[in-house]
Amino acid sequence: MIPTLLALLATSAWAGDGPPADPAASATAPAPEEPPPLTRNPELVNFVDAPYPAEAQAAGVEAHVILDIEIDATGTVTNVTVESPVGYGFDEAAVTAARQFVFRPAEDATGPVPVIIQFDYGFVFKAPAPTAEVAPAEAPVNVTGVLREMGSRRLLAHVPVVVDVPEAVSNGKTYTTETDELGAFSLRGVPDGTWTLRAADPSLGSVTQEISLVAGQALDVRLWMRTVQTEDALYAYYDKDKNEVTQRTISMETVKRIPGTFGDPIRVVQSLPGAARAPFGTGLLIIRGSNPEDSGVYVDGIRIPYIYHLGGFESVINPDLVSAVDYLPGGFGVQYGRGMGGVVDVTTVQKWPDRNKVTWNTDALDTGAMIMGRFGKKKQHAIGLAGRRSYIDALLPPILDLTGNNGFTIAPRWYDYQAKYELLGHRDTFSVLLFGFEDVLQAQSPEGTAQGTDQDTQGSFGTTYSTHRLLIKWEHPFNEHLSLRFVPSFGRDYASLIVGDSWRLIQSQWLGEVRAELPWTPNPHIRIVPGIDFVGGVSPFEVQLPYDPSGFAETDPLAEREPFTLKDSQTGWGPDPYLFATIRPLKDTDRWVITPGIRGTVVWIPGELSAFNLDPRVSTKFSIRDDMRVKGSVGLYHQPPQPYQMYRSDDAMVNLNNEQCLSAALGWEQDIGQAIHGDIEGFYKQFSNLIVGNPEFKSLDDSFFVNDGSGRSYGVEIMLRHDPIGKFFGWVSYTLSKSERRDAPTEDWYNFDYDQTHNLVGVAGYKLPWQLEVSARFQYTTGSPTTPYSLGIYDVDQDSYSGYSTAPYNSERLPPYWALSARIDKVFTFKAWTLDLFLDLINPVHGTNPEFEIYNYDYTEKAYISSLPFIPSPGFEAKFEF
Amino acid sequence: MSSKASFLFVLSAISLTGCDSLGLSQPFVVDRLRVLGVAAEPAEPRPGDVVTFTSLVVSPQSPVGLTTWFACSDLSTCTPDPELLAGLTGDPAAMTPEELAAAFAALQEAGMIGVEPYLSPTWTVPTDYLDALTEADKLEGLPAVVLVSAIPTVEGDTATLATEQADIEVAYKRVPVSLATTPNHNPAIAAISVDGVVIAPGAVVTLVAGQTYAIDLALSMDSIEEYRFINKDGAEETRTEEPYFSWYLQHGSFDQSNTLWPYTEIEYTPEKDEAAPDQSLWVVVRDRRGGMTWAEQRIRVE
Repeated sequence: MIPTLLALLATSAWAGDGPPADPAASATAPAPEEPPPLTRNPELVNFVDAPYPAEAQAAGVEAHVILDIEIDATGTVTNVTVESPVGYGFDEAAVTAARQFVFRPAEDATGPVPVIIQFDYGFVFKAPAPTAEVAPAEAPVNVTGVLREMGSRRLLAHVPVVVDVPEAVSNGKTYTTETDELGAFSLRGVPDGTWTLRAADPSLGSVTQEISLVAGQALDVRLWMRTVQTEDALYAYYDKDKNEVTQRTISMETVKRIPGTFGDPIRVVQSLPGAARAPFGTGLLIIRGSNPEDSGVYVDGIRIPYIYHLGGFESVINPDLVSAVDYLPGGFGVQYGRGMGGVVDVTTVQKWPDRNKVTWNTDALDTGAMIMGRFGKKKQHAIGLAGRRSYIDALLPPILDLTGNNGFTIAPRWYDYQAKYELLGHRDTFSVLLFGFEDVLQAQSPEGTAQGTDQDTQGSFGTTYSTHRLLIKWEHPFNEHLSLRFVPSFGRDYASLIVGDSWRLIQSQWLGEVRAELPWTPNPHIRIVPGIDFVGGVSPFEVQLPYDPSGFAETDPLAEREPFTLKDSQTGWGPDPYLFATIRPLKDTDRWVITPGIRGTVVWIPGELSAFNLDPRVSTKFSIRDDMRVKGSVGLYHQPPQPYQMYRSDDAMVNLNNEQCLSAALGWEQDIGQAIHGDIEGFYKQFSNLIVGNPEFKSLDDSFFVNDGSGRSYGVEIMLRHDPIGKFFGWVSYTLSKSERRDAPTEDWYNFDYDQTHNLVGVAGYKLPWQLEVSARFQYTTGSPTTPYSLGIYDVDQDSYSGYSTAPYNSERLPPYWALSARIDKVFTFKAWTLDLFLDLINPVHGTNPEFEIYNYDYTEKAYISSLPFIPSPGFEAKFEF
Repeated sequence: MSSKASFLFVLSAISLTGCDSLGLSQPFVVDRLRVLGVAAEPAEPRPGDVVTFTSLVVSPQSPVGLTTWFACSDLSTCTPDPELLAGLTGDPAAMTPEELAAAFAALQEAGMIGVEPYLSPTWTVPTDYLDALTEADKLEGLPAVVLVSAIPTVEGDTATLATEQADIEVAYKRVPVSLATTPNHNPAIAAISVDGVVIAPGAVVTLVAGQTYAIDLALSMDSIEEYRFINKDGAEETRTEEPYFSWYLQHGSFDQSNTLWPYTEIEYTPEKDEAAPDQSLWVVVRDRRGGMTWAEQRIRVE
């Protein structure tokens, strides 16, 4: 008996306690409302084998019984009905077996939900062994074989197989069959001769092979089919079904092939509306005119301090363990906090493959591997392991030597690791994620070489930063309406900067975080989620300077240097409570969604800082038609001071408040046919209480920082995308924006450091024959603001010039940036594995754009530090399944 | 990646690139009007002391017509005002020092302490200069600021001074005034050597273009001073100066343009300039406490 999961029909799933949308049920129930889409299909974790009905066995017949199976929110089968009875006892046997099935429940945005699925329970007749007395009733089987998928060796079931015999067709006879569950097929009575054997399935692909049959001999054939890529949705898109009105979810695979991303989908955020171009492609998240530190990066809901490795080339999470990246440029809900910019939420693997999978990828920067699989009696334990290590530290020194470097060494290096375990087949969801990374940059000058004129900065330079996290996720459905999500995590962050023998800045943080939610869905129209986002920790730090920081106020090179050492520790808490609701007021629950919420932003450092603010927020999206939607959001966002801003060595309180941002957005989404989607959104952000340096600072008795800064940013984002339907995918993203700051209410506005008036990005990919794929990326942005210097005055004691500007801060701009990158992939599909060879051509056209202005020693000449030049980055990715 | 990490990455990239590859002029190449050093004598005066100043001003293109000196207590009040110079009448070259002093009276009211080549810079430290300080702070002292503006003549006209701000070289130096028990003194250069051979003062050394030479500097025995210092815990320490040397050239290259005591040696590769085979090397020594001295070594490159 072979089960086949036919289809999960969208109309057969319903959420909450509303009536099922099953046509049979609708005869006695009110008209069903269109349910929200499923985020996870039900998964059969315990299959029960039905006995072959005696009546059918006697008759020598086989059948497929189509069942409607109702599964509740715990994964239990509550009802089974037969769609079309087939008799012979098949129906009863299938129903009895299906009632014993156990599923992992389906989920939508609200959590586990009941669903109805249609299930094909197949009975394949196995004839008793023939006896000498029984003569074959049909022509003998003379063609047998097995059909497998190239690259994975997966057995392909239910694929039509045919032998093309032209003469037979003219006689009205065909030789066709279908592969069984084990990919096997057999054909009887195929005439002698040379024919074409063909296996073809519209959704998979086709394969042909010439066969020659000789009288009296059977032929056994092995067919290998190169299937159509059926990877996940392959693009960045606006997801209208999520609660966030401006959520751009990035799925995998094709986005890995966007030029310049080094195969990292998280870097694709840089190509979406609202994200300004980061200098040098460093990957800084500059979203809607906010500082990089204003935006939050989350991994499975837990915030981490860094998302990119050194240089910003690659993210700290192995792409093969990432299932989705949610990019929220603004207007996000109260479940995210402590930030005024945007959010990037990385979701690690959630869909575990049936077969074990190994990938190995290598490019110009690093090499990494991932293994993923399921084990246990019922394959209920899923585990994924990944690791990556750069080797640029090995390559760079000889390159520098070749280029005439006189012994100066620089050694950047990084590694990252991830391990995830998930328990499958249980009504509860339980997973453990362990991940971390470390980046190191060491620079060492030859011995006896002076680095500048400062005795205290002589010697090596090094910086290290690292993060390690252990995250547990547990979800428990109490019933169909109420569930619990509990995500505790624990970890350590570390950052250091050491210059010479005298400069040491070392900070580590031991952090504990808990995110807990209690989603309650009393009916399909409302969902209420109370939650807490708690973070607390201890942060020991060490500061060693060659002179007392009191001297910061007056940088007198003749002042006697008094070495300064500070070792201390801060303990801080941020128990942020929040509450939000998802209201669907219309009968068609998907047509209008309103999400009000409120969050308390709390920061408490005993004896030093205490601040509390309430953040009310609301967002809404309304579907005018199926292809047309309006959306809007408004809300307050508060952000605690940065850790270094919250410290005082004495007992005095730090006189700082949370920074504040009032954010509003209004947008329109339009579908143009099936493949093309447009989105336009305007935004306005008003910043207040921004923390700036204290202009009155004279000594350690004064506050280093004050809340006197303010800012504003506004603009319009436009995106037009073509889904990867067919051979083409791509999008055009354009952001027109303005962002300004001022350091005190009485001062003039100036351009924000990362202000970019225009930011235009075009991305396109096309699948060619022979498993070739080409893609390109174009970007144009306005040059970054810069401050011109017109005069240099020589400080004789310091032996350096100080630049003086007669123009306002950031009043000029660098030349515009534009560059074109390209990439070509060639996939080779072998029987057991696939190999993707690629060549990433980063900035082959106009790559050397100005990134910074640099002046000569006396400020009489200036030049540009350019962005990355043309970098050809070859690499490969090998995938194995077994 | 955080903004800090990005900054460090960029900083590293720039340090590897260097200004040289960007086509920017290098600070150790003297190809324009420069004030390379300013020294006060005494280096650390007391209230009432008369301080004289000297400077190392180099102008390879056009002669320096005027060097003005202003003294003030704070750099922000030391802004040079070219309009003041416009008030001068008569030919300074024909005046006696007394007449010059009278002519410069208005400028002196504004803090001017010298106009070279007519009036050597001299500053008398006010006797009440440290009166606002505590007795302990008087030992640490209070710096005064001396602002030096070197004004070249307009090319081809030795009588006309340049008026464009970009043509004028402006520098400033702090002069620590204190009642220190171990006041600072300017260091003194004992000798310059080339490949280990001590060069006689004033001698011109002949070197071969493209060949690398080791240039070293010896300070006089008493140049590296020990001094008393009260740390923040109130304890008295004895510290030793750690001077550093800044090297300058006209043509050629150094392996490094700054050296730190006691690693004073540099490698110098001369380059021939057909128009001017006679060149100079300069070295300026700073003791980090305000003391300064310098030397010039004439070179003939073949």
